[in-house]
Amino acid sequence: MITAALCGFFILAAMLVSGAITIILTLSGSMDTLLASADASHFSQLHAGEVEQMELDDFVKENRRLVKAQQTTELLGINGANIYIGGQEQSEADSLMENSFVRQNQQFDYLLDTNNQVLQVSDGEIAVPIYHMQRYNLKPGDKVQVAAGNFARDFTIVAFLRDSLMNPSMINSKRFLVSDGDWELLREHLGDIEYLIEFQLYDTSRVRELETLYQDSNMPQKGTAMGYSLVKVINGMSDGIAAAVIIFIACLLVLIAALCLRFTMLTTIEEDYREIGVLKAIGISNQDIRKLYMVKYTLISAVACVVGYLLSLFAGNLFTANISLYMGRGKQTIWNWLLPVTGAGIVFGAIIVFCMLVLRRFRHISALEALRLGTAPDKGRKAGTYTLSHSRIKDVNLFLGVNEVLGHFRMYGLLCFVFALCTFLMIVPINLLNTLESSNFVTYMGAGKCDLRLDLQHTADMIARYKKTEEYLKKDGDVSKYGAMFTCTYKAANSNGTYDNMKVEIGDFDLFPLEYTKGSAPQKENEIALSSMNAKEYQKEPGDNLNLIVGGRERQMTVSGIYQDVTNGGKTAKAILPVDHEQVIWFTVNIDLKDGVSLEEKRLEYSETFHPAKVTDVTEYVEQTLGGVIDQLRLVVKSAFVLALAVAALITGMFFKMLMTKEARQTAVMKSLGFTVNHIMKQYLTRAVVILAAGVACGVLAANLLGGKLAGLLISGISDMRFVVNPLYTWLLCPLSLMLAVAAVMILCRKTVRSIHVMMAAE
Amino acid sequence: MNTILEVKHLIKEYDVGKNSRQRVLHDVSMTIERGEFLSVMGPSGSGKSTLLYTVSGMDRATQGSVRFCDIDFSAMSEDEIAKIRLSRMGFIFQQNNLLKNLNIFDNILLSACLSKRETKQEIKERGKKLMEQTGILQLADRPITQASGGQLQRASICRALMNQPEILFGDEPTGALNSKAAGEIMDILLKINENGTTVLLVTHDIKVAAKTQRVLFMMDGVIAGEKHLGKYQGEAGSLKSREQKLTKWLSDLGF
Repeated sequence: MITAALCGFFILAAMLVSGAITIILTLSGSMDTLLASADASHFSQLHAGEVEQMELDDFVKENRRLVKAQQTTELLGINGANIYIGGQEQSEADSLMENSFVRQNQQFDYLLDTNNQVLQVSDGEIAVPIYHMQRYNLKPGDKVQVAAGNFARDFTIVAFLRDSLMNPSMINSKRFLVSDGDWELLREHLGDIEYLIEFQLYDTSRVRELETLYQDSNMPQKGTAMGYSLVKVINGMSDGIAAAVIIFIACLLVLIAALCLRFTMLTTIEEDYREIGVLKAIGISNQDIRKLYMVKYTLISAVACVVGYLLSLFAGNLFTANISLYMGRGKQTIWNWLLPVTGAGIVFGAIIVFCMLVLRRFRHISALEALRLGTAPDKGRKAGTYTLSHSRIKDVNLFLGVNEVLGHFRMYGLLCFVFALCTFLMIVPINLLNTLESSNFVTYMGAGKCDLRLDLQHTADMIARYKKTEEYLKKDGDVSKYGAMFTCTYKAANSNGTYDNMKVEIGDFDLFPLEYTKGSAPQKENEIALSSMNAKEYQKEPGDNLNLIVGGRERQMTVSGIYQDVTNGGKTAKAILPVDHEQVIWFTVNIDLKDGVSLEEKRLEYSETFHPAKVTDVTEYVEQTLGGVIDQLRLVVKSAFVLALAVAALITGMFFKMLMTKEARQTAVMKSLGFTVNHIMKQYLTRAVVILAAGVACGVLAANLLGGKLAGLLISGISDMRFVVNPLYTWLLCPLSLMLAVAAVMILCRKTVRSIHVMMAAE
Repeated sequence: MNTILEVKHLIKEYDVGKNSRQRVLHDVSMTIERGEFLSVMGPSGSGKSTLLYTVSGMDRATQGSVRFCDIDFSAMSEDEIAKIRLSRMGFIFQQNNLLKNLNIFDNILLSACLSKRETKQEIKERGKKLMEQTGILQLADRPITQASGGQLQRASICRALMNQPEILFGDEPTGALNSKAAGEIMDILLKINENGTTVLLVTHDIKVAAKTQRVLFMMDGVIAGEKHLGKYQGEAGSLKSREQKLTKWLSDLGF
């Protein structure tokens, strides 16, 4: 049974290590192939507004040493309410994706099909992003309709497109490819034009240089900019995280397998102690005795690693299906086979080395002692520090349990560590899920907690629209409060003495407050709060100064606080400054409704009234942005819960089985004195409960101290998350389930204690 | 005198491989009266230790009955027998069998603390008194690794006496000791017996058996003979003559 469990752990560990290596290799190969096939852009700038191509050409001429090619493409942004995909009755109005219709590019940044070939579509045909294909389970031949008023145009899906710039589901802009004729037709009837200004460089390592030059010039930049490295990071992120999580789980499994192996080997050595003594006494060397034991474990681990590797080949498709779908397959080289085999080989090597380390203890076994005692001598704490005669614990079995743990803390520390690990493994995902599901989570995302949020990107008449909006809201009796925020771009001095663009939100931050990890919201003029990513980049703490160029003059701002933000790439700031309407790139209005007002009705009303502004139900917004993450996390929570319980149960079983074997004679002596099986089990249970309590306490502490940071690593923009804890789950359910799992195993272990015959005391 | 232990037609068999059993005790019957000091002798493998552990309830009889103070062990559960062992019996083994992570005093108090018949203070006082009587009071706080074999055997006698047992069983209690320490242990056991505790010992040592009141000789799983030596009064001359009598008797029986 134990050998089977051990074998299972080895197989899983080998499979996951090989699998993770396969993911990393596939990811990097596929990404390189995609970027090469698409002839990807190295620096891209979205711009909502007019573009003077002449100025851009001049900029390119000035920077000829850097820029290899430049192209400006037009994106026809069409409101989701006008798009119907795959014969759905429901339009894309509720989708967070901003869908643009484009023509195939002429110079570079080509849109590819699922064979990584440059796509060409005819009139009436359309190529749909992979994201939509996956979401609606689309097939070639399905329809897409674009309709507004009396205009309607039907398209037939002929291909699904890979987009080197906007592929990942994390990017909320998507490009649909139509023919030049259809594009012109659509443009005549609906949509807003946004420009995508793209550059290719001779040397991709100099993208940052071009980015700075571009930002410092007066080139069009009302929109998001994206460098080559960011494209790579975002493309690799979701699958990279999966690989990281798998590697983390594999490491955990190797660790657990090592602990199981140690317990198993020590138990075997305990059982064979006298025989080892005999072997030594008749002159067999330590090395030869070690070989006898190594044969078994070498065989088990070799078989397990081979099986694990083979399974990883079958599971490989499962691991890499998503990567292949979004990016295609890269070139298969010998490394694609060799490195996963090496991974499994490393697991095998680690097991063998660990076995050898454990078996080193043969050197310390004295033949005489083994023959005389039949068990290993006790190297625990010397008796006398905590005594029965002075103890306040009245129950002798409780005392013996506690005394044993205190006397051998190093040995029990290992089990304590396992329990702490299991608790951590259980609590962190539960706390994370609870935090993501909490209604306050939006305040971690850099947005205030409100019912509805209205976003208006830059348009020519944006300020007029804002004024209209404000008037409307002021008169609306259903609104309990509202607050507007303007986002402007300012130049901020970085540590090198040069200036970077910084998006700064201006408004009243008391109306819809955020969670600040350090300091507080800006209260007076010249105060600025930075998102944690910006604070890190500019190396600022609350109280530090930051220079901004406002209205052409340098202004010294004081950092008032730091907050988490996942919006706009995580690099934002909030300040109290006079609003320069010329600099506003978008505005946001947070709205709270009075009790009893229907959110959905209001959302529809505002969507119509304030078109083209985007009105979002904030709870739904969180659900849409994090819905996928939450679903995945639920699965992780369940898996982690089961895994933690299984590990705790297995390790407890192995550990106590080893102890019971080791202490069989002592148990027999106690039985001879009149201790019953229940008495002895009470001692073992006390030990288990003491270790479990210590382990759970350490685990909970670690989850509180490190859990938030760990969660921050998984969700970009949040560096340190303050968990919203559900005490029922965290403080009660997790420890209780662990306790029950341990108790169940201890009940099974009762059989071992029962089987120890009292006559053993006489041997 | 009244009977404390009555054994009738006791048979004990052990499994020795598949479908194979070995009979170690063949139809053994005997009685022990309250206050007696009895020893069992015999060659190795004669079944004397098996007899001791079976009559003390540590092992189950295959057939026959063992009655302790009119209580039939065969009708009792392990826990019930354990309770009797705790409160009414005491054991001394050849190895002292003290627990490694308790000091000597705690080892002595252990079974008394489990039975909870007295307060902790009373238990501690009695433990100290017993240690004083056996001459090991100064060792109370020492770990068991810091005492000699004889001292540890005294400690295990103290532990066995803590619950004031009606009967004390000893399996070669002097077997691992030198002759001086063995003599001292026997003197302690004689004192215990004088105070009314019944004692049953298994021994190879004629000097030990000579101090007991009655000697049973076991051979091939049966009681092959029985010798009444009478109470030992402690005179040096008398011990010599008891040893001689015993030696002659054993040699007549072929030992």
